[in-house]
Amino acid sequence: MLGSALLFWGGMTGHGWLGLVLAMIVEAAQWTRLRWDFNEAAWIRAWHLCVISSVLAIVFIWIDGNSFMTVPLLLGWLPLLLLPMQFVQAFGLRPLMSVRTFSFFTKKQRELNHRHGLDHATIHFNFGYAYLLTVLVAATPLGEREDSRLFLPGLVMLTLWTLLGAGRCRRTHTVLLLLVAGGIAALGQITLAKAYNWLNFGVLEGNQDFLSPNHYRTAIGRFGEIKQSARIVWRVRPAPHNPPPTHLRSTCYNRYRASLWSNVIPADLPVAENDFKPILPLKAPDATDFYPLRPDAGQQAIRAALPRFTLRGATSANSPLPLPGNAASLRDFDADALECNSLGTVRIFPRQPVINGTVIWNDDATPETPPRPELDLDVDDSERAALRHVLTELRLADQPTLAARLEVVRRFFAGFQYTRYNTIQPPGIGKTNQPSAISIFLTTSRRGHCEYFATAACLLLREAGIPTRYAVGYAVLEHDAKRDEWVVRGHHGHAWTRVWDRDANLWIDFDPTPAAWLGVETRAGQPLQWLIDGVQRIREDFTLWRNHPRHRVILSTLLLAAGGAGLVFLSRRLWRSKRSPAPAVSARRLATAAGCGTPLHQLEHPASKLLPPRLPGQPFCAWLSGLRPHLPDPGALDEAIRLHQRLRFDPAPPAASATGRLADLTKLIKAALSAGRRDAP
Amino acid sequence: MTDPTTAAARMESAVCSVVRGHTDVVRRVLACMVSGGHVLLEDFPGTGKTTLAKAIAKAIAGTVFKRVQFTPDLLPSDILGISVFDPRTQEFRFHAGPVFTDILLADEINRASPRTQSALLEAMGERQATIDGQRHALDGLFFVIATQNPVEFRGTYPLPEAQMDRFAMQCSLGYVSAAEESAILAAQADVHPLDTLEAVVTREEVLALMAAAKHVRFSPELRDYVVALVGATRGRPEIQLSASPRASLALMKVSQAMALFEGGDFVSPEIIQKMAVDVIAHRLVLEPEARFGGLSARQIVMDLIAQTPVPV
Repeated sequence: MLGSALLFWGGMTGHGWLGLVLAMIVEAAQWTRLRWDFNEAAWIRAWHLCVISSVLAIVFIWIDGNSFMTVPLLLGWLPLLLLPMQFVQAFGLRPLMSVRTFSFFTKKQRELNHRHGLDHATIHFNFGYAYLLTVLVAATPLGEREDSRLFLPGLVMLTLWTLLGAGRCRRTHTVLLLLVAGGIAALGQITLAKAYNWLNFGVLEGNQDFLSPNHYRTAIGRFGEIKQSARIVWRVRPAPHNPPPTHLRSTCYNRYRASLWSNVIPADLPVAENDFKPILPLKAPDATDFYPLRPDAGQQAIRAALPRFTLRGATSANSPLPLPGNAASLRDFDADALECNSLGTVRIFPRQPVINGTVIWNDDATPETPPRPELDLDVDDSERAALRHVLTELRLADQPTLAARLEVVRRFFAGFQYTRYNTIQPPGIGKTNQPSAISIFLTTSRRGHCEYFATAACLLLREAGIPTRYAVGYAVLEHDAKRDEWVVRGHHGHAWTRVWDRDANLWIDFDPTPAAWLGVETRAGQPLQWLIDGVQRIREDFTLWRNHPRHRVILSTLLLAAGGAGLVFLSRRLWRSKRSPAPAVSARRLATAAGCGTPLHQLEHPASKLLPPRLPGQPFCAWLSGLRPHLPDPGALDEAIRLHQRLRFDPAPPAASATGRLADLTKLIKAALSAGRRDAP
Repeated sequence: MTDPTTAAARMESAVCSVVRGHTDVVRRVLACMVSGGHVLLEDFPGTGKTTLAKAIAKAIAGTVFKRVQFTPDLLPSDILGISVFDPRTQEFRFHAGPVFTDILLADEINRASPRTQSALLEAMGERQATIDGQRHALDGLFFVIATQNPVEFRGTYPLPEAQMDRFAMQCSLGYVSAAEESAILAAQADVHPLDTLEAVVTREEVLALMAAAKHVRFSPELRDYVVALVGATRGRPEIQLSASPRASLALMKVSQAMALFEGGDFVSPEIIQKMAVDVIAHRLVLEPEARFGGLSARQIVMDLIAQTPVPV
C-alpha cells in the first residue's frame, strides 16, 4: 500500500522516478531480512535528520525566491523529507515508536510525572500510518500542479486496493468505504487548495508581486488602515552622474468602475492573450542583445546620451517590471521573454528568481499607444456630478496650457490631507443614489491615500477632456548613501496618473498626491529592519552570484560532494550496524547442542503454537509460564519448572529420580495441552 | 543456630511490617546487605529511606546504627574519626568516627564535597579505614545505605564514578499505592511501628546468612551469562563509561543472596535478570547525546537483558 501510494505521489507530482525509488526503499523491508536494532536514540536522530532536512529545504526554497510557495512545495516534498523516519520504522526491529521521539515537551512531561510519582502512559504508534497519510496529502495537486483530474480516481483506486488486500470484499461495505474515501479526498483537496489560496492571496493581498496587468482592486472605499511591508522590493542604482527615476510604473489601467481599475482592450484591436506582445531583441554594437520598448526605436533606444540605471530584485514568472514611464530599452536581463502591452506595462519571464539588468530611460517617446477617446476619457456616470462640481470650481478650461491645468489640479489637491487610514463609507449595496467614495473624497472628506488622489485626478482630467490613465508602481524615495543606490520598499508602492500631452505627443507622469505623503512613507522601519534588509541583500546577491554558469558548476560540485559524502557516511554506518533479526533459535536445539537438555525442552514445540515467539533474552521457564492459562492444573507446570531449573542450573548432582519425574510431568502437560486444543471451539 | 532461610524470612517480614508496600525493594536491599554490598537509594523525600535503614538495624539484635547527614561543610574526619593529641599521656588518641558501625545511613550523600564522599571509598570497598597511616578494621556487618534526592540538584556534587562503583546496587522505593498509604496512616495512628519493632535475628545469624550466601551454588554457564550481560555494556555507542568486572562480581553475589531470600540453594537466570538493572545501571555513564535523547541507563540495561541470549 505504501509503495503504491509513493508511486501515486510520484505520478501526481511529476517525480515518477523518485516515487519509484522511494517505493522500492520502503517496500524492500518486505522482501529482505535486512534489519537494524534502532532504539529510541536512533528514532530521535532520524527525526532530527528530518527536521534539519526540512529546515534546509525551507531555506533553499526561500533563497530560490519562492517564499510564497513554501507551504505547497514543502508539502510536496514531505515523502522524501520524512523518509529517514519511515526507514527506521520499516527496517527497525521494534514495531512501534514512542510519541516522545517527536516532542521535547512530552519528554519533559514524562520526567515531571516521574518526579511526582505519577504514572505516565507513553503513546506508541506505527509511523507507517502517519507516513501514508503524508504521502497522500503530498500527492494533493496544489498551486501550479493544476491537473487534479487523476487525484480523486487515483485515491479511490488505492483505497479499493487496500480493501481488497485486507480481504474485505463485502460489496456494500466496499462501496460505502470508497464513497467515504472519495469524500475525504475531495474535501481534503478543497481545504488544502483554500488554505493555499488564503496563504498566497488572502494574507498577501495588495502585494505588488501579484499585480495583475488586467485589473487592479484599489483600497478605495475600504475601511481601515492600509498596511504595506517595509521589505525591500527593488534596488535601483543609477549610472555615475545619472539621475534616478522618480516613479517606476509596474502596470497601467484605463477604466475605473467602483474601486476597480481595469485594462479594457479596444474592440477593434486584434487581441492575442491580454494584449501583450513580445518585445523583440536587437543586437547592440557590442553584439549583446537589448530590448527596445518601441519597435521603431532601433539603435536610438540605447544611445549614449540617455540616462540608465540597474534594477535588481526578486520576481516571479509573468510579473510586471517596474520601469519609468519613458523607458527606452532594457538590457542584460536574464529572461526567457519580455512582453509589453498597449498601455506600456512590461512583464518579464525571468530565468532566475532574482533579476538584475539595465534600464535605459528618459526617452522622448513612450511605449504606450496614443489615447483612445472612448477609453481614456471614460468616466462612470456615478462620479460625474461630483467631478463637474469640482471642475466648475477649478475652471480648468480657462488655463491655456496642459502644464497650467495640471498645476491647478495639483494646487487643488495640495489642500487635501494624505492619510493611510480610510474613513470614507462606501455606498451600500443597491443604494445607487448615494455618492461614490471618490465623490465623497472630492467634495466632503478631502482626505485619503494615493489611490484616491490618482483616481480622482484621472477622472477629473478626463471629465475636462484630457485623456488619462491610471499607473501603479513605486515612488523612488529612499537613497542608501553607503551603497550609492536607491531602495524601493513595499511601502513605497504608489499610484499616480499618466496624462496625454497632445503637443509633445507623449504620455507624461502626473502625481497629484500632496508632497506630505513622502513624510509618511519614509518613516523608520521596524527595529530590526537593517538586519532584515541585510539578509535580503545577501540572499539576492548570492542568488545572482549562483546564477552565473561558472559559479553554478562550482556550487553544484560542492553540494553534490557534501551530499554524497553525507550519504556515504550514513550508508557506511548503517551497513556496519545492520543486524539480521535473530532467527528464532529453538531452546531445545540450543540445550541439546550444549548437552544439557531436559525433558521439559520437549514442551517447546507444543507451547510455540500457543505462545508468542521467545526472545533471545527471555528465560525458557519464564516463557513457558505463559502456558498457565491453557492448563487445567498449573501446579504440574510449576513443579516441572522447579525440577528443570534444578537440573539445568544447580551444579550439585541431581536426585536420581528427578529426570524421570520431569519426563512424566512433561508428558502430562503435553497431553493436557493437546486435549485443550481439541476441546477448543 | 537456625536455618539461614528462616532467618532471612524473619528479617524480611519484620522490616516489611514497618516499611509497608515495598516488599520487593526490602528484599533487594536485604539481599544486598547479605551479599556484603552497599546500597544507594535514590528517592524523593518522605518515601521511607531512613525508616528502612532504621528498621533493618532494629530487626538485628545487637547492631549499632549511625546516621550521618551529609552537608557541604562535612569533612572526611567527621566520618572516619580523628587522632587528638592528649597532653597528659603525651600521645595521640584516636576518636572513631561514625563509620565504625554496623549500619551506616549516609543521608543525602551528594550534598557533601567529593573529598568527603571519597572518604567512604576505602571503608566501603575494603571494610577498613586508614587514618594517619593507621589501619582500622571495620565490623564484619558493615553496611552502608546512602540516599540521594533525584529532584534537587542545586548545591550538590554528583557522586564520582569510582564511588558509584562501590555501591553494589542502586534502587528506589517510589511512592506506594493509595491503599498502602492509607494503611501506613492507620499503622502510625497511635505509635510508630518502628518503636514497637523487636529484634528478630541476631548479629550472628546475619553473619551466618552472609556466609551461607557465599555458598549458594552458581553454575559456570550462568557465570558466563553474567559476564556476557555486563560485557554487553561495553562498546555501545550510547554508553560513555561501561560496567566494570566489579559489576559482574556484585551481580553474582547479590544474585546468590537473592536466591537465599527466595528459598533456593542455587541461582537461576531469572534471579540474575531480576537484579541486573539495579546492579549495573548506576555504574553506566551515558553519552550526552543519548541522555538528551531521553535514554536512561536503566532502559539500556533492560534492552541488553532482552537482547543477550540467556541459557535455556
